[in-house]
Amino acid sequence: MKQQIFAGWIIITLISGKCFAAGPMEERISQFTAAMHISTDSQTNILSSSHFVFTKQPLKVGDFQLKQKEKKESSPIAFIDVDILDTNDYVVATGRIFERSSSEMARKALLEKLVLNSMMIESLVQKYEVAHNDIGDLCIVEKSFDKTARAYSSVPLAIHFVRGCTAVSIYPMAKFNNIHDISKVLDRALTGGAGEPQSGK
Amino acid sequence: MMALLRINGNFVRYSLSLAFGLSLTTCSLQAATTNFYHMNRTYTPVAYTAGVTTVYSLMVGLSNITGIVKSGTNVVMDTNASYAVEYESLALGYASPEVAWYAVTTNYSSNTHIHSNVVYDNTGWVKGTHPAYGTWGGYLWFLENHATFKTSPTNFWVSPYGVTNLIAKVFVGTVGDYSPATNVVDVGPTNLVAMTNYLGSGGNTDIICRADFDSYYQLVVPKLDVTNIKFNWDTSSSASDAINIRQDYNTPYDISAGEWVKGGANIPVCYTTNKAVMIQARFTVQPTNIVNADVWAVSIGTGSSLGNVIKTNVTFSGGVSVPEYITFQVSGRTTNCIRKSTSDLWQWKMGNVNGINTPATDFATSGVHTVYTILGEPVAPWDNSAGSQKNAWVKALDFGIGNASCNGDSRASNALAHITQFLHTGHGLTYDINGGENAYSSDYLGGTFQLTEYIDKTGGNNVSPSRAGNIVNCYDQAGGVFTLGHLFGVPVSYMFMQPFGYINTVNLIGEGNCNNPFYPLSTSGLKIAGTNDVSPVRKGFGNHAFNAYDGFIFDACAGPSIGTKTAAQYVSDTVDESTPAEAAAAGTVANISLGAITDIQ
Repeated sequence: MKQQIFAGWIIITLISGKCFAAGPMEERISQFTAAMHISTDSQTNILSSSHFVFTKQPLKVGDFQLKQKEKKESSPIAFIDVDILDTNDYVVATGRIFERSSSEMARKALLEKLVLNSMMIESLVQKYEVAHNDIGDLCIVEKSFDKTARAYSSVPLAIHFVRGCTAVSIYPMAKFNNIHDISKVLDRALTGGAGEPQSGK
Repeated sequence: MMALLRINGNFVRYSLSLAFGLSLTTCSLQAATTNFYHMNRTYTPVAYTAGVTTVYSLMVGLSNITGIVKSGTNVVMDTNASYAVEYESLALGYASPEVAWYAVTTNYSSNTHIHSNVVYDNTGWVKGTHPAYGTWGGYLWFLENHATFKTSPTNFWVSPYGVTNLIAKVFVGTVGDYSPATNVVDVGPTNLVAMTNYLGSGGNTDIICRADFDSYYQLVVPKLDVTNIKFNWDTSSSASDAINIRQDYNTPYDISAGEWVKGGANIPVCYTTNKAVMIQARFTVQPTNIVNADVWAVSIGTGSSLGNVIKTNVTFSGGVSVPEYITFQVSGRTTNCIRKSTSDLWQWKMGNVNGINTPATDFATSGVHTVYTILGEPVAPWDNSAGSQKNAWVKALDFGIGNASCNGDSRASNALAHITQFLHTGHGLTYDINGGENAYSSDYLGGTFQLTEYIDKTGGNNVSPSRAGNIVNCYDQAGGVFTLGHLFGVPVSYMFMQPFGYINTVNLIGEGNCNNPFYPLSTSGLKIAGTNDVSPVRKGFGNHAFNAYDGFIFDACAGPSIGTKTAAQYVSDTVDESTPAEAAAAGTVANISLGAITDIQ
């Protein structure tokens, strides 16, 4: 009977999304989410989503194509790296996609990625900004540092978002590439159908 | 009828006149000395005729060497068992020479006389027909040796210079070819047709012949070869042999036929220090009647890692060593320090072939063997199980021993200091001043380390987007020290400290003196900001990874710290807590937790 109660407690903990062990990285995640005012309630505003389905052919997503570069399947750092090509087949951005079994795990994967470094949390808070836009369930913009003004600028260095069970990081190949639009297209694909494999290429 | 006298081995025949006028005249004692039974052959010393000494003339001269020598002792004649048989027949008063000859040849064998304990040098025959008083007479006499001898006293021959050689075959003068030390009974002459054929009316002949018992030895020239050498002959244990290694993560070595194959593979080997080791070697030998020999090898390489191969009696069957791979002890012990040597060369020697005390003879060389020596068996994440991709990589050994200058390090701390110093200063790496992100270690506590890419500086896939391969953070550097230390058998620890804090000025990898590790993202933009500045003017480390061994800290990222400070000293020297603001961000030794590289790729 005792064992059943214990098992039930674990299940409740898992469902509530508060199962991160209190290790140094979890501590950093907590500090980061608190400082960034990121809701830890994973159920908030989550739309149903699907995963990208990659084949050997580039995946057509809106006006872009996603070309898989590398796939690392070993847990817990499983990811898919992609090139994002425009209609002229130019690589305009690169991306890393984390596909997890739950929105909670996807969010954790993204946050781990953002805090897995040796910077102080205070520095990370200066570097990142939660974007209240229509991209993802959670969208975090990584700001670029203007070395002339010696301050962070509004030009995004990367956009990270979570949609359902998928976390996506988008990096522009050039500063002027609009990764906001790219992120939007990818997010839309995740909510409304995750693209379709291209034929004939 | 016939006077017989043995004088110095010669059967003396005197001339005689037959009562019926049949007169046969024998030759003199010295006459007809060129007649030999059973064959007519001679041996002539080989003369060197190749001219002035050049490589070519030497080769020509060598090609003329037959391996045949004069025995010096000849055969061992057993006079007690030897004897000669004299046959004699006379026929008189026959109507024709043919009839007289027929009578002689049908009766000679019943008239014999045996001469015991003697072998004559003038055997042969006298025969003929002759008319007398209107009739015909015939005469046949012959003398035959029954020589009993041993072809050679033993199966070896000692040269005038005292060198013992194995005899393959004994050529006994005109008598025949035999095995050494073989008992022979030779009867001769035996050419009965020549002795008993009819010579025609009035024809006669007198033949003197002898056997040449001078003996010559065909010496065995053993051709021994070492065909394979196994250094890692027990892949399930390295108690007394080399450890399991591979070229790199993706490339195993096939050592099923040994690391060294004559004319073929020559794969490096790796030992741990101060170990008595054995090797296994396979041999072939010709001729196949060599059934055993003492075999050993002398290390002739300058600066070699392994000693001599101790003499061992090797048994052969059908020209191959039995068992196929012979285990040899190597003298001494492996070196006492981390080392890579490329000069191990063995001169293989043999002696006592077939147990007859033949002299030591060089027969082959093996090598040059590449030998790595490390302080202990690699520890996790390295895996010594045969076939594992995490067997010690030669790529990593070369990186650590060669690039990191651990060659000659006998102490773990020295090796770690060299590794740390090299990874900090010598490998061309630089700190990720724009993000402090890890590229090669997968986790802040180590995790999987992409050693191949770290060595090649091709960029780990942990970081996204991909960046220059020489950009690292402290997790990568702690992973590098951990992985290479463990490769050498040194269980150095991976330490993670959070919080860490602002740093005093240290030599930050690739950046030089710095107290502002993320200076491009600071408002000062200075590598060395004001010593009391804090964020956003000066940035600190939120956390930091480094290594510890035996109570001392190694940091290949900042410092470098090469094992001269305890954790407390290291933290005190590195973390700046001189102002309340700095102290608030500072960690202590209590904030250090243990990590580990758990896998390598």
